[in-house]
Amino acid sequence: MRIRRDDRDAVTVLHLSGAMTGGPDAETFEGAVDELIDDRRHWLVLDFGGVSFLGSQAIGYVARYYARFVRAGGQVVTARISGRVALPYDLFLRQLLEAFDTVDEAVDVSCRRAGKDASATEA
Amino acid sequence: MRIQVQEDGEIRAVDLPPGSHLVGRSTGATLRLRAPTVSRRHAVLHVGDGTLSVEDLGSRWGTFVDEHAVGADRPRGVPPGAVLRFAQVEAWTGERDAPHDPARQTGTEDETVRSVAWFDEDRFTHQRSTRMLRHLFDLYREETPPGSTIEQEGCLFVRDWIDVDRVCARTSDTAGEPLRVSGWWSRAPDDQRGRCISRSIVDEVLRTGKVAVWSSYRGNPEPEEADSWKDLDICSAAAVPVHADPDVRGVLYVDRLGRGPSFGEEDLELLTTTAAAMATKREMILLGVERERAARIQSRMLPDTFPAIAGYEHEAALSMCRTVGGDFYDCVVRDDGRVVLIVGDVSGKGLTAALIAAGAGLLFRSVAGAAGGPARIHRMLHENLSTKLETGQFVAVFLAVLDPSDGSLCCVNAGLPYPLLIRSDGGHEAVEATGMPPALYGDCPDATEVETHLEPGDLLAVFTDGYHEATVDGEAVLGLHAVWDRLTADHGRPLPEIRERLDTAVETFVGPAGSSDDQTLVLLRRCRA
Repeated sequence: MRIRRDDRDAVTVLHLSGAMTGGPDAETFEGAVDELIDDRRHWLVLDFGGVSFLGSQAIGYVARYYARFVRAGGQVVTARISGRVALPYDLFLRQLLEAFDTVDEAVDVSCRRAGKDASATEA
Repeated sequence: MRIQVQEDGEIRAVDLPPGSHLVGRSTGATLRLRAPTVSRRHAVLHVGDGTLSVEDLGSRWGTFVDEHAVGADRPRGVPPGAVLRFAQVEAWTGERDAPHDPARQTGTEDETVRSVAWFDEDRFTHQRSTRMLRHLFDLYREETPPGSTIEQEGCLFVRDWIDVDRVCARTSDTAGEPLRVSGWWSRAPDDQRGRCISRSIVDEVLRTGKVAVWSSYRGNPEPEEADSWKDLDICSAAAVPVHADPDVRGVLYVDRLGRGPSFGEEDLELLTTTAAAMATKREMILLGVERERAARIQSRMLPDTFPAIAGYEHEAALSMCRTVGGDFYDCVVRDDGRVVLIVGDVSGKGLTAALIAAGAGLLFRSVAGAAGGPARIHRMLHENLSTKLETGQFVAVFLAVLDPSDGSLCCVNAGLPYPLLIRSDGGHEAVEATGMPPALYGDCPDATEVETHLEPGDLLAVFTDGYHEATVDGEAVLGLHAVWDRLTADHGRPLPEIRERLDTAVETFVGPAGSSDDQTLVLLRRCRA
């Protein structure tokens, strides 16, 4: 699995690609999420567009680090769920992670939510 | 031809008749050298009618004629007055006392010559290391020959790579048990010493857990009188521990009898590596035995047959891609006649998944008998498993409660690929995901129950992802629709036939490589009136 980080205003997109399995992939994913928490990046889009396979162990760590990110005050959505990712997403992650067809759409919605969140905090 | 050798400050002369003569530390060498840097089979001297040539045998530290490296399989002539060097041991022909080489004596060597020498030494070292690694890898990887043991094979490996007179492995499978001879090799099998080895050095290794090497040649203190060292005429011995963490479960021992060089650093490294390979392979063998036992237990924990349900027929089968797996299924009939069914798939594979599957299966049995629908069972599974499993582990389940009297079926699908309800007329509907797999996420919401009816002739097919995720090369997969299509096409056939035809479809798709995931299929059909 490979991860490319793309910061867009308040939102960070993690572009995931390759086969997501257990073992080292979990550490890669953990490192990326921890980095966002350290950087106080609270709005995250997981782009699954390049993922060729999502194994059960990967589902486990996505759920685990979703929980960690949310506990740290973050919000996570997903984008470009299709192909071999569609079924595991629907079976395991749909109730946790909202999905958008495109990354831009996911970023726009997250930006709006981030803006509202910031306004609410200021008020 | 007279060859003089300077070793350890002493010069000795050896007369070699015409022919080929082995040089090295081996006891079979005509020109036997003691220095640890000299290889067991270091070089060959070819003595002719007044001529001499030398051929290196792939020694670690090389052979040189006037500091020119001698290549393996390329004999080099030795002109009169030239200085031969086997590793650091020098030799020369004729009667003079010592080679005259002011440069070497003062330590100001010719850098060009030296660089050539080191280049060749590296190459020879590389060749030897490659052969040794290949041999070691075979020892570790290949099955132990019938009638032998990994310890015996380890002893033979040591024999092949270290100049020894005897090798002995003394080990035990369990900590605290007396050691037994599990591997042995002797250059002289009929030697009257039998299998007696130095007790002192073995005891030291067992006591300290560290490598021990003793040698009269190196001037080590004499072993205690009680030791068999002198009686056995051992001139040097070495032993390394065979670990089974955290314990020392044995000793790998070598010795040299009579006279001979001490064991060098290279020898000890090789001994240690061999002992580690032996211990790891032994652990693998024991683990394999444990895995077989676990597989038998897991197989017994699955129901041999589902309880008979009047008016229904059923078929269940689990095929594991490894010895043990994380799939399971079970069926409980409540006192009121309702039937509770579970099909589960633990995340991950292997022994860990099998252990979780066993626990989840027992948990299901303990909660399924009580009143309540599948959502309640799902909740109880989640609450129990989420506190016990490691983060990231979860159990995908399909749960159903069937009232056989009227065919009403209440289901929760929490992570299994959509089970298929195939109507008697061939129409079909999938049971969507209505809950999260137990233990996947701490704040797991309650699952939603789906209610439907099994009419006469209707078939419920529940399967795990080993079917639709069956893959040839990690890229092409069979796919959910292919599984559904097969089941739908065959839904009118006898249940065993439906299973066999689906299994055949998967086997045909994946080919000889076989499946890479467990496959479980449970079929439940309401009989036609």
